[in-house]
Amino acid sequence: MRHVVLGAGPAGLAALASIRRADPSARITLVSGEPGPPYARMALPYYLSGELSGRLLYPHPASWYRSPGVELRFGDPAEELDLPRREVLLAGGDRLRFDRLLIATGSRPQLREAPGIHLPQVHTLWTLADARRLRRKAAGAQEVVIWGAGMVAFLAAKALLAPGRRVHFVCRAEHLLRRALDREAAALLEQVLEEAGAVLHRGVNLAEIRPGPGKRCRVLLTDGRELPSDLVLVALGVLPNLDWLGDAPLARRQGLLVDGSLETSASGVFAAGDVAEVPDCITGEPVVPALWSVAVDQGRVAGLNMAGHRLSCDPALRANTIVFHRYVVATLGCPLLQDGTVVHRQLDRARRTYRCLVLSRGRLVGAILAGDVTAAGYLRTLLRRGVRVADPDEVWEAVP
Amino acid sequence: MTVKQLLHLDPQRCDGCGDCVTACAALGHPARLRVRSSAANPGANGALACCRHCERPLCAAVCPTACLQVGSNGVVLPRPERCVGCRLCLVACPLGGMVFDAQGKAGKCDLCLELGRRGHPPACVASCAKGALQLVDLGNQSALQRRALAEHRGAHLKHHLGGGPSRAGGA
Repeated sequence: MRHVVLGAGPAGLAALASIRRADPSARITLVSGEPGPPYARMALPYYLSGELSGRLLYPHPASWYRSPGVELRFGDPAEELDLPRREVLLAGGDRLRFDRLLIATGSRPQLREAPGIHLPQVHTLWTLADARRLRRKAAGAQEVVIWGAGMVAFLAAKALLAPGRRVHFVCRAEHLLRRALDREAAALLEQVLEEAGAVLHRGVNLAEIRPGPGKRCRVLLTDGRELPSDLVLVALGVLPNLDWLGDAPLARRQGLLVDGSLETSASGVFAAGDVAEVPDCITGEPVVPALWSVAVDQGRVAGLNMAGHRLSCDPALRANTIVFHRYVVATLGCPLLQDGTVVHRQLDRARRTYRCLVLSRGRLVGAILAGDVTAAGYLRTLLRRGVRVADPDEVWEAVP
Repeated sequence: MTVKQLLHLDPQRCDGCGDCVTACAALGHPARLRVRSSAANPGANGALACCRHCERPLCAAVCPTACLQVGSNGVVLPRPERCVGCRLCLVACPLGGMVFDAQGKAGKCDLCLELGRRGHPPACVASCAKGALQLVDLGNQSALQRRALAEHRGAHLKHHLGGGPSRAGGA
């Protein structure tokens, strides 16, 4: 069986490990568009801030990949899928034949046109190459502007907030992380960020970036204000990497449509991670969660199914952590659901702790923990199982 | 490799004194276990929150930097220099096994391997005057006892998970 795995992020690597475990005789080609060995994208902010040395970005040593039947193609992205011939065409010109294909090409930063967006001070933080470039550029930068206020923006700020530097968020919404956090949790996180040198510009958008003075640029906001800046980060979220598929006949909406086994509309072609559109565990609605933990789970299941198993992947349970220095926030399930939900909140401003449980028709559908996230693993399990909760206090009491 | 021994709490014998937690923390790291006694909390479920050294640990699978590894003896161990403090392991573990220190580095129960090498029981077990906490040798158990132990791993979860249908797909 010839397997081709496109993408060496969490989904691709989990799939490689699964296929190898399930079928030691499998021939597997791991393709990565980025040069060099696979690294942990999630760890890049820590590398950029200097907390993590570059060598620890790599989850596996070279020996991990070296096994009979495994071939590595790094720095040679897939450019075309030829379904009738069951081949993938790589940018370098090679054609890879496959019996089973995994599309785990991940996502890329969403860009938006704005006057001045191509100035040399404007960057994204997504790849290791970006992080290396930013490490140089950020040295000496005193004013940084981040366009965006979601998870990617937060991670950029986390990497760049440092003594002697101000990091401005250009935030269209009224608070940070509006898709992950409610107002209460966001306010606690914002307070911690502000104490570390973040400045939040709420309810505004970026209008234009102008060059100068000197090596700086000026970010013009929609309310007319102007922010002098050494560095501008575009962090408006991510989009699935599907453009390379062109008009290949794979059913898709936001992401590739897959069945419970993560097989796409084309037989033998699977999708996992940030390119896959899957049902949400809580709402049942199709989502592209673009979350590390979901990608790992899907990669594992897709890999096993490619190797001949018939496993159904759990619907995606959104669960994520937001960590800034020692302050931790966890968001679990769908805590921002509005329709007919009952929200139980406990806020302690002095201790900077907050926890909320969101119930819908007596079942737990979401939770947010800030300051103390000890209960996160427990709550995640309750959410996965859709347990009935009669009394929210009973939930807190059950966590040892 | 499956772990050969596991911590086991008998919540009926446990009086909730907390000596085990103190003994664990006295080793120089935040306590790596939390307990709740049934005897001291009538009507409540007794529980031990601690790493159970799963065979295919969810914490290790999700760790972006491969900080958590299953050792040759089946004990799940962190490599602190690789930990970036993201807490994905903490969210992934339903058993409350992950603990973070003041620097934000992951820690967890290692069954006091170092003490074990010198022939001593884990600090928490040694400190338990009621004999409620024990290090159970999995190799010496009958099939029935092994199953009881496995079920006990998730006892505090079962309290909630016992009734009610699971969501499509299940856990």
